[in-house]
Amino acid sequence: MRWAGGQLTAVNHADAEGELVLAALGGGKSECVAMVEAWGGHAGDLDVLAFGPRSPDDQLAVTWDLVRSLRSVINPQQAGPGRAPRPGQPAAARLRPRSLPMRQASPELGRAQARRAELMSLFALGRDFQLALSGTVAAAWADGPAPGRDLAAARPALTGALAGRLAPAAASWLGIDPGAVCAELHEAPGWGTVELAGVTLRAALPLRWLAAVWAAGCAVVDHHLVVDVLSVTWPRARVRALRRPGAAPAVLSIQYDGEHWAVAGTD
Amino acid sequence: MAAGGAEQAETYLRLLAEAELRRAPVLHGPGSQPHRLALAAAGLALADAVSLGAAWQVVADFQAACALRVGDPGPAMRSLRSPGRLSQLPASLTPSSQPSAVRHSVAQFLTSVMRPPWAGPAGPPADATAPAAVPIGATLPLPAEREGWYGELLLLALARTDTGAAITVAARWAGQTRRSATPRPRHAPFHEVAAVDDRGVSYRASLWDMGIEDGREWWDCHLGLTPAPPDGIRWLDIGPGARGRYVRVPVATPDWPDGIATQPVPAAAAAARLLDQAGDELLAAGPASHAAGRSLAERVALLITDLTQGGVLAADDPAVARLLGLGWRLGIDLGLPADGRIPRAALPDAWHSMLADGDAADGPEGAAAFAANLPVIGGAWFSLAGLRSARDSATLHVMASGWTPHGNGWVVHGLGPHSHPGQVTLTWRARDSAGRWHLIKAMHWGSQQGMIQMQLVPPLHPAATALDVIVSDGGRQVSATVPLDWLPAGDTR
Repeated sequence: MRWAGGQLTAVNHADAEGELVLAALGGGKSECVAMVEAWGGHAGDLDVLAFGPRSPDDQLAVTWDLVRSLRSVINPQQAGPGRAPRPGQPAAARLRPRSLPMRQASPELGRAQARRAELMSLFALGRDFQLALSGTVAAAWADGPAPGRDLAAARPALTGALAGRLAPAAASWLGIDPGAVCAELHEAPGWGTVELAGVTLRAALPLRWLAAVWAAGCAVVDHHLVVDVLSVTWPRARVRALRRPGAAPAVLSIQYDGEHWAVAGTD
Repeated sequence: MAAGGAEQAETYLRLLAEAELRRAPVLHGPGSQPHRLALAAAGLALADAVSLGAAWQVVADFQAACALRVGDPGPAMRSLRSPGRLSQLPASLTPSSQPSAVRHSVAQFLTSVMRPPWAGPAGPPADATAPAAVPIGATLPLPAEREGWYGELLLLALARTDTGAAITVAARWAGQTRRSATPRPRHAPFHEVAAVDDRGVSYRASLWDMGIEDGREWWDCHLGLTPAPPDGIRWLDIGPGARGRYVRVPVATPDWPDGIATQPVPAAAAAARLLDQAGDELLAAGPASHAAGRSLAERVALLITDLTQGGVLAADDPAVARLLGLGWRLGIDLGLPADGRIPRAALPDAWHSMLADGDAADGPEGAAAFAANLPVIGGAWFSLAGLRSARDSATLHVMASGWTPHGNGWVVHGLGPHSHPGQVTLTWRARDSAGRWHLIKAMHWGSQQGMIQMQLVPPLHPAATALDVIVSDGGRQVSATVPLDWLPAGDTR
């Protein structure tokens, strides 16, 4: 699987769309192609932000074994690739996590469970994909809610998603307690505001910050809080960044060395 | 709904969830207490600040996020079973009882340690009918039991509905027939009795809610009659007691038009009523009592924080102010600024009375046989069925129909694993004729007959001759004045 340019692709499946058409007509669907499809299905899913990682130290423990366990419970016939159960032992019985509900699911609940298991499989792709999917969701909402989505209803969850990710970043930037960071969505034009009020850091940033800055892993670069990305020429980017709260942002050039971002120059 | 809007309240919960998630919580297993977010969500939902669905979703997402960090997908899957809304309410819930049932159900779901899938509130039996009570005021002496100890049952009142009937009782060991060094039994006197009506029909009479064997002086309990006596009978004979004696109980519903009054009360927001309830509880149970794994004072302080920071109540709202003022007078920190002053007049009379007499231990010792049948309030009916007074408190017997207590003192007891929260729509207070106010410290129940024992604190004033029992549902108030004519107690053989 490869994620680039905002798209997830199955590298060994050149005609993924064709495979999906065949699957819709009753043919088989490979796991990779199913993942590509799932990625698109969760591109606006707020659960991604609710469950996904908040900071470099925040790790999800979602493994392929766990995904197989879920699938075996939800639909034993479609548990997906994995180790074969030992002879005489049903896969579901062997793998079922103790805490999973066993009540008979309604069709609607069954679909919701399958969708949730699908999300777990996307998380199981690993941390880089988790960040990319989180950024994809944030970007989808930053561009305005898709038809059928209610921004007002989603605003508390989006505010929580922003605050939960900005707080650890800002805390590492200033060496303060993350609990001293108050964040809100900036919905007006511009990059927002970041100011210190007493011991509290008050920030108003747009959702775009989550998609363009946080998901790219460049929230804090060389003692600067990056608040906006102006342009990207991989592996370099021109960003707007703050040296301290309340200061006017400077335009910096930053570069990724394969592990970290560093300031490469100023405009 | 919240003054700051539901969006502000939900945002507060979302931000609190993020703060809690940073603490990398290992969510408690069975037997522990609800987590901080569940407490806040329950409080805001009970205050009508956020919808049930929103409160539930925030808690469910938080728990799923926590669990995924330790490799447990269970909460992420369980959280798909979303709560129902009013359409799932049982048909037996009357319109006026729906808010109570929903609130209780919300809080129970949000704060249940096991967090079962949403099941919706349970309604009262569809055939709930108004109870009727009549006073008795007679003593049934019991034959001697072990070591010559003999007891007596002070029969206070008969309360019944179409489906259940009970005689409220104060029981004690009255004496010993012969000299013995054997101490008084630690258990309640127990002697099997029955009831026979004027038509010769027999009813089993079983003692209920006797409490633990702790050697107390009096046991408050009731005789549950099975089956329930039908309408039309004139009396019941209860016995046999010592030497085959029976007590005759007339079964006619007295008219109490002068003792009961119903009047509207100024409408108060659900959040304000929550805080008033918290104040009652601080006074009745004491700030040091425990709630949800912390002191009641801490729990109430959190509640104030959640309601004010969640935009439900302004920091200077009168309900907040009077609770802060109460905290200051109790010597506990509920968040009143150092230079804050809450005038005495901001606190209700009941709280001033409790502050003045809360430690009193001068209650008259005795039992009063009275009955009062209250008009419907909060979608339920109540009959007051006698009282026993002690030095430190009084026990009021109540028969309820269409209402089940889920743990008085939801702040204290309701957020633990063994009792239930959400009892916020009915407020019980009492004031005796000497001007002393009383609050409910505890409720005991458990039988099938709908009988509840309410422990009033502080004790009745020694000079009190009557008691006003006041029940409010936030829109109306019912008060019943009952006489405190103390029954003679003692060996009547």
